[in-house]
Amino acid sequence: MTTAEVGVVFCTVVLVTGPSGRGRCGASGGRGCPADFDARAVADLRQLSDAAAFFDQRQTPVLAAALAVFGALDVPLVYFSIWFFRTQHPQPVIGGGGSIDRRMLHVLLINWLAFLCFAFLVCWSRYRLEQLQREVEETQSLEALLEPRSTVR
Amino acid sequence: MTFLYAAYAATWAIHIAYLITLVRRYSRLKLAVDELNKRKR
Repeated sequence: MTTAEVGVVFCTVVLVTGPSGRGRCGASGGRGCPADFDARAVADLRQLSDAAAFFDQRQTPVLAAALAVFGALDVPLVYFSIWFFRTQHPQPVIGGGGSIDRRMLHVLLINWLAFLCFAFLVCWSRYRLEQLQREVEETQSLEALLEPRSTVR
Repeated sequence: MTFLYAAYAATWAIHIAYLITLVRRYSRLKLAVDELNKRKR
C-alpha cells in the first residue's frame, strides 16, 4: 500500500513532465502536443489508476492483491508500448542501438540513482507512518473496548 | 528550455506537496499518540 501511494506520486510526475519535455505545440505544427496522449502515456495513466485504486482497498485485501498483480503485469506494457505502438513518442535512446550521448547517459544515471534513493526514503517513511497509524488505531480500539467495563464496575 | 524549467518546477512541486501531506499525517498521528498517553496517566 505504501509503495502504491509513492507510485502514484512518481507516475503523476511522469505524466506531467513527459508531455512538457516533448512539447512545443505551436512551434512544431502540433507535433508533441501534450494533449495528444500516445500509447506510453495511456499505459502510464492506466498504471496510475491501478495504483490509485489499490490504496483505496484497505478493507478488501483480496481485491487489493488482484489489483497489485494487475498493476505489476502492466509494467512491461508501459515499457514496451513504444516498441509495440508506433506513435509520436520518440524511439528509445538507451539500449537497442540507442543514440544517447555518453555525458548525458552519466547525468541520467546519476539522476536515476538519486530518484531511486529518494523513492526508497519516502517509501520507508510512509511504511513507518502506516505502522504507527495501525498501532494507534489498535490501541484506540482496545481502549474503547475496555472503557465500558470500567464504568460498569 | 522553458519546457525543461517547467518540468523541473512541476517535479519539485509534486514531490514537495506529497512531502507536506506526509508531514501533516505524522503530526496528526503525534497528536493522537499524545492524547493516548494523557489518557493512560
